[in-house]
Amino acid sequence: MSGTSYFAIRLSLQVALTATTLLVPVGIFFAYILARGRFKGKELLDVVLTLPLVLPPTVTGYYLVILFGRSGPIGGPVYRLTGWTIMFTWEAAVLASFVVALPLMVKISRAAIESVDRRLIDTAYTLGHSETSTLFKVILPLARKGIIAAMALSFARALGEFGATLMLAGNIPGRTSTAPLTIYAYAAGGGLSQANTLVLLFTGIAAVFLFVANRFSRRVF
Amino acid sequence: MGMSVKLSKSVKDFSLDVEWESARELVALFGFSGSGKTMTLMMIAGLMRPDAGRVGGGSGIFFDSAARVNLPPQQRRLGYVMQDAALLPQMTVRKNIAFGLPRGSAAEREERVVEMIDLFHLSRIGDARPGQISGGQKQRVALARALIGRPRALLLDEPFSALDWPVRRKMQKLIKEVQARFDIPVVMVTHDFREVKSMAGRVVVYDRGRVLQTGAPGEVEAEPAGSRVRELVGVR
Repeated sequence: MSGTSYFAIRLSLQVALTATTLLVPVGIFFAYILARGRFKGKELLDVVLTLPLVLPPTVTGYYLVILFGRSGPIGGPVYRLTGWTIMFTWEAAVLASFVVALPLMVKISRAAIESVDRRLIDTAYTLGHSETSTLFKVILPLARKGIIAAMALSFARALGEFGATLMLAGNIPGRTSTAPLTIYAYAAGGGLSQANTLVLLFTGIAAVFLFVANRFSRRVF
Repeated sequence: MGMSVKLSKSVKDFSLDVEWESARELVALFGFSGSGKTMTLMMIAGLMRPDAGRVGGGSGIFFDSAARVNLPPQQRRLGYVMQDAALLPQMTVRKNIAFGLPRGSAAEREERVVEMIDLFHLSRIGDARPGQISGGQKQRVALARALIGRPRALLLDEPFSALDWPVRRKMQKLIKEVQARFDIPVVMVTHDFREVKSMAGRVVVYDRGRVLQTGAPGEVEAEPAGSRVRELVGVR
């Protein structure tokens, strides 16, 4: 395997791992408030969080460029304060993967949280357990399998991110060229043998994660 | 002091409007399913919010719509035992019981767990998980868990409905002993008037979200207030 391919796989794993680490707390937080909370704007929040699942990744990426670009409402102040922009960095690939995989993490975790017997939660409250204590001692342990499945699928999705990553991080060899981007570059440039190796390797990794997801949840996909 | 309950609540096509009191005794909420008994229990426990009313038990007021009091379930200190025990499947019997005592030092909690295990004869199954024990044992664990925090009152939602008759008899006796020993009001939901007669000092007859009659079970049986009560009491 060439140095470029090796770098691409390594970068992809690093991006997906970082994105998943962020996805777990954030995804569980949103899953919990959507499953158990009652507040105004819940439907809207659900729709906004689900949008990246159905939008073309390039559209999601476009929004991220608008928001996080040097003159964007988030990226602008950060650039003025620190002189740093996330655009065309490996962190941009993390951000793109995070946003695109978030709907999966939230939807599957939410289903797992909602499947926990309501009476077990109620009993915990009557026994004096706070909502936080009940979350950690009752809800998360009982929703464990679904959450692990959510993590595995989110990781696989983050690993395969292409469109939004291209918009936000570009395809800079040795910097932001993740495996999917590198495969595209190989295929477009006629490097079929290198593309083949990377494609097979990538398929293997993704299959392992789907296998893990299925092991932990029979109801997902 | 016993329980004092006045509640009203409308949901979709059902309305509950009840008022009753009891001394420090075992009071049975008796009626067919769908008459509002479990709803009453959930509102006493703070798991469902009434539209209006007032709930007090032991020495505390938990809910008073006029005074805008509404304690969360965590602060009501009521033991609630659900129909199927609702034990945590991932924890051992011992851990399930300890779960009823969220606060306190490890030594104190351990001591109280041992005390409850002895009281409810659970020493042989202390390390078993809920999936490995019988229905009667599950209910004993649920009782131990509900009582370990020394609640102000005990709420039981058809605690024996899943048990066979011999086990049910033993459990009925156990609940009476528990009531005497802890000396707290017990509110028990049931649709079985024989159970009411053998256990309760007082019965509240529910029908379609209303209270038809309250009194000692013997009185209610001897002098039912109207044909509907006679029907409810006599059917079983």
